[in-house]
Amino acid sequence: MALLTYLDAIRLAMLEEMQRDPRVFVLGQDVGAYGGAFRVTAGFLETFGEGRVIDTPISESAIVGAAIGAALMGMRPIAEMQFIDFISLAFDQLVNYAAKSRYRWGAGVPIVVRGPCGGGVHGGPYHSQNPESYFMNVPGLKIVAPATPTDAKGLMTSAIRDPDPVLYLEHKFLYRRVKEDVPDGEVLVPIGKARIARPGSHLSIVSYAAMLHVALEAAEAAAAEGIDVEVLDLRTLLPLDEEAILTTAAKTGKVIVLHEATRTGGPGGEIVALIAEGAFESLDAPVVRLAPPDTPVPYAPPLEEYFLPNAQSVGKAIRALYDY
Amino acid sequence: MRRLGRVPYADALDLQARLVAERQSGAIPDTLLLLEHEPVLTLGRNARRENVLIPEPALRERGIAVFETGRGGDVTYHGPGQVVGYPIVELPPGRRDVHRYVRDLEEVMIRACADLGVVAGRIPGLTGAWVGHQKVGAIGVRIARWVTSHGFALNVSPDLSPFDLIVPCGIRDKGVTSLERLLGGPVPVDRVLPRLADHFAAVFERQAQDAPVAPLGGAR
Amino acid sequence: MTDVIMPQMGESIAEGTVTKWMKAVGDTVERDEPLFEISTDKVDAEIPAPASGILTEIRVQPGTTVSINTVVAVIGAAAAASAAPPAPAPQPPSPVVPAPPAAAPPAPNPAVPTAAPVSAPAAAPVAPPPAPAAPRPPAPATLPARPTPPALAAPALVPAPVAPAAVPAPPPIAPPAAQAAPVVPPPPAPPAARDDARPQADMSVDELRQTRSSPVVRRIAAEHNVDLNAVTGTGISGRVTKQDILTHLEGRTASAPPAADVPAPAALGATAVAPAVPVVAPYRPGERVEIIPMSPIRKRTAEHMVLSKRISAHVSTVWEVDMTRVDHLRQKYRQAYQERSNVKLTYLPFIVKATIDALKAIPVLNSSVEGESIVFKKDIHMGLAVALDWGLIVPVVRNAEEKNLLGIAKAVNDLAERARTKKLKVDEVQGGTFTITNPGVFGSLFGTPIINQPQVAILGIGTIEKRPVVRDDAIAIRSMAYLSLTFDHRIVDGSDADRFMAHVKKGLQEFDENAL
Repeated sequence: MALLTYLDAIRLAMLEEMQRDPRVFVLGQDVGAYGGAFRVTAGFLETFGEGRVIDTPISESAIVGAAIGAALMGMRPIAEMQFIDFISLAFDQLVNYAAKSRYRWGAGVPIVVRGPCGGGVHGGPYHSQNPESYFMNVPGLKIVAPATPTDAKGLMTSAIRDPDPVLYLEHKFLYRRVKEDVPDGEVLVPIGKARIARPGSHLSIVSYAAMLHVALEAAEAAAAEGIDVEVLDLRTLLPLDEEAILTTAAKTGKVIVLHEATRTGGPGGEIVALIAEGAFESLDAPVVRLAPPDTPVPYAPPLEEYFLPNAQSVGKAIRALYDY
Repeated sequence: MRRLGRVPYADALDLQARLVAERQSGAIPDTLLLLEHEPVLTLGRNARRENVLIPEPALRERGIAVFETGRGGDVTYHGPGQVVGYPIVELPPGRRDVHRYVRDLEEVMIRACADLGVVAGRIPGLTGAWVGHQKVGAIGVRIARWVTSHGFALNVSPDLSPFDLIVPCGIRDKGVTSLERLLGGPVPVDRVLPRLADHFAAVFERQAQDAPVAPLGGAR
Repeated sequence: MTDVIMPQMGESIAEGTVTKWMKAVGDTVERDEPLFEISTDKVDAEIPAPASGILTEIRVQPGTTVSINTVVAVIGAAAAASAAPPAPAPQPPSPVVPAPPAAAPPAPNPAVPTAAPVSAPAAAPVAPPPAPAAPRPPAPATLPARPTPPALAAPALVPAPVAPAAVPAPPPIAPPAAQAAPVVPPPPAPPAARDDARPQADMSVDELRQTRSSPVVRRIAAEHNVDLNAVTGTGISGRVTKQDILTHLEGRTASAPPAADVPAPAALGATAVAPAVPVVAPYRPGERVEIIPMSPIRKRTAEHMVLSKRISAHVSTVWEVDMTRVDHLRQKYRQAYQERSNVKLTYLPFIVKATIDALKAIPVLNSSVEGESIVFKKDIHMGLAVALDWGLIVPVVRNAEEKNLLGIAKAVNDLAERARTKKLKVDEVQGGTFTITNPGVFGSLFGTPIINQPQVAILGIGTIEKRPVVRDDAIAIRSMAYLSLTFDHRIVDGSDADRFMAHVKKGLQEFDENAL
């Protein structure tokens, strides 16, 4: 067991895989000499050399395109988007090449595209986004979003070993704020499986990434009022763990879907639809979505605070849903 | 400040209601009414009927009226010889604390007693001005948008026997006394009124000005 | 939407008591108009409304004391369309966004025709009177009528906005089951016409909730053949929630298991104290009453008494005991006890001693019931009920079987004194195995006391007075007392009870002077 931050866990997973498998290499802006904008790849250049830790030009489409090419040649690249916000520049490569390659040519593209997402750090509109929605509608991709160090390590390892493209969303707010004991050695968390972070009986909150911790905080506060909240950590967004979602919905009959991506077109709609289709007869109340309003992430701190869901706003929703 | 002499309770209630509205709209300045009442038992919002120990018809036979009021507190008696003060003041933002207001009214009565040689004080948890375990001054207040009405009553030289008919303020085991009884001799109300006025002004940091006595009752 | 809160009337003031509402739910209020009155001990204050609108909800009834800043009522927007921005809402804004099917429009708003753009504040010229009856939602072809979704900012799941006379949200602390008991104001839209024959498109949201509730509730009702009209609803709009119907089913089958007073989580079927109890309104509107909230000790006593009756099979038996000998011994030794040990020698120590001896002889009276077992208690911790001004408490003499009469007398004196002066420790009022109570002190001949759970018996002592009795075919005057034993017939049979009482009677009538 080692006490690791979320960031350490990601670094350690990559390190261990690069040691285990010589095909694994890292590329991205400032990942080599600088060690990564957030220091995730600190020490990698020294350990693995220029051949496996590549500082790239500022061109996300080149980064992902090169990774796809390398993967088609048998390598296992981990491509970093310095801020996941910039993934929009690599959209075509990901969606039209990486995602469809196996379907179109029978050739899998085992790349991991990883980058820091999320707000709460006064980063403003271009450094705080959550892009999962754009990619959930792309068959052929997988998307993971861990909330804890153990899941961060386990999902990175699974992502690297996956034979198909995986989008790995690491939430920057959690980098150094979340620490936990992570088992030594190989940690494998399966892609596509959610986890009950807190069992409960009165209502459920389905969430992931930084909002998972907000959900847990609100659940603790609600417990003091006698409301027993179950919290489901999705961990993977594509494919969604439909069984886990329906199980918790059927158990409590009252569900809040909480995410940091903005409301309209966010992952919540998909989850609510699944529940309506699959757990309708068990519902004791309408399913509620909690998400920030449809605006770019504000820069001014008071506005960003207003924008993001927090334990108080979640608490209000919990009480309202409980009373329904 | 207005000295009203002896006033029936109902008239005083009407007057206060009018003055509160006028004070709220700013038509009049802070006003202190000083008066005495015809014999009456009044019941506050928290009053319990069992604290009136004899039935109403018997009370009326003795010439004592009974009133239910909108002030706080339980039951008490007012009568000639007891000076009643009704401050109709708007508590300024720095003084918007009902506990403080009540304590200030106690202070006014305590200081007035001191002037006459009676050492009165407070009992924690029991509102009023106390000498030992006997109450010499009572308080019951109403507040609407921080404008006060009702107020305090100091037993100068009233007939204390009607107090035996009630459990004053719902407090059992504690007696009621008056300045006259404590000093062992008659105390004219007119001696006490100016003391109360002066101390009120001091405690509430004002200057008292006598206002002409407005006619009571009737439409005005 | 504006929350009306209990104001802080002074720095050191932490709570206030609502004494009177000047407005009723559904009334229009103007800002600064007197809305309700509160009191602290000597001061009554009139509190003005913080905003104009319709009083949509009263959450705190007169006579209730709440902490400052507690929301006591809610004022809804008056005439504006659903998109009107909420009144000065001090809290952080709600990203609470309802899924469209569930959205309830704020109070008196009839559905603005579907096209109402969500972001246009108060654009709609529609200014309806505060109509408590059904706002007619637009009726899409096949789906049950659903009102248009409100503006983003409107927290739609708050129970308040539904209709003017909304049901105050039950406090989340107790499980919904226990809330079936308190008086719940009638649901807003009159539920009288819960007529499922009407087309859903014609029903208001309230009516839909009351008649159709939610999918899971309908399913359970269908499975168990339950008429939703017969079930008390504690949910929004007075609807039957999942917990309500489960509780109802529980009550229908077995009687509720004797549960602790800790509210159980609403797991399937886990309802604790109160299965849905029909409510009889304690007073009618307009009746002259004074409502005084129960003190904590009164509440606890109330709960315990009712609970005890539900748990045990209460039977009482009354015995007449000749206390003349005890009286005689008491007189003889009273002074000595006072002088030597500064202990007041009353009747009670004698009775306690005789009871202890009887408990040793018939131990089932000193036991408890656990499930299907009898738990015999090896030690006798004697509870003595004391009536104080502020309520009833039962201090306990621990290991009373080890004490002699002097020890018992001392313990009794000490506990009574400390009970009166509120100096008892928590563990001194817990853990009793048998209780003695004294209804006779107020003059009662004998009582039928309620067992103090988890014990199985309680002895009541009637008044001790001189009466004519027959001795040797002649009339004699003796000090007599009726002793009544209430016992739990689940494990104590009449024969046990009578043997016990015979033992007590003998112990008192032939009290051993050497014990003194």
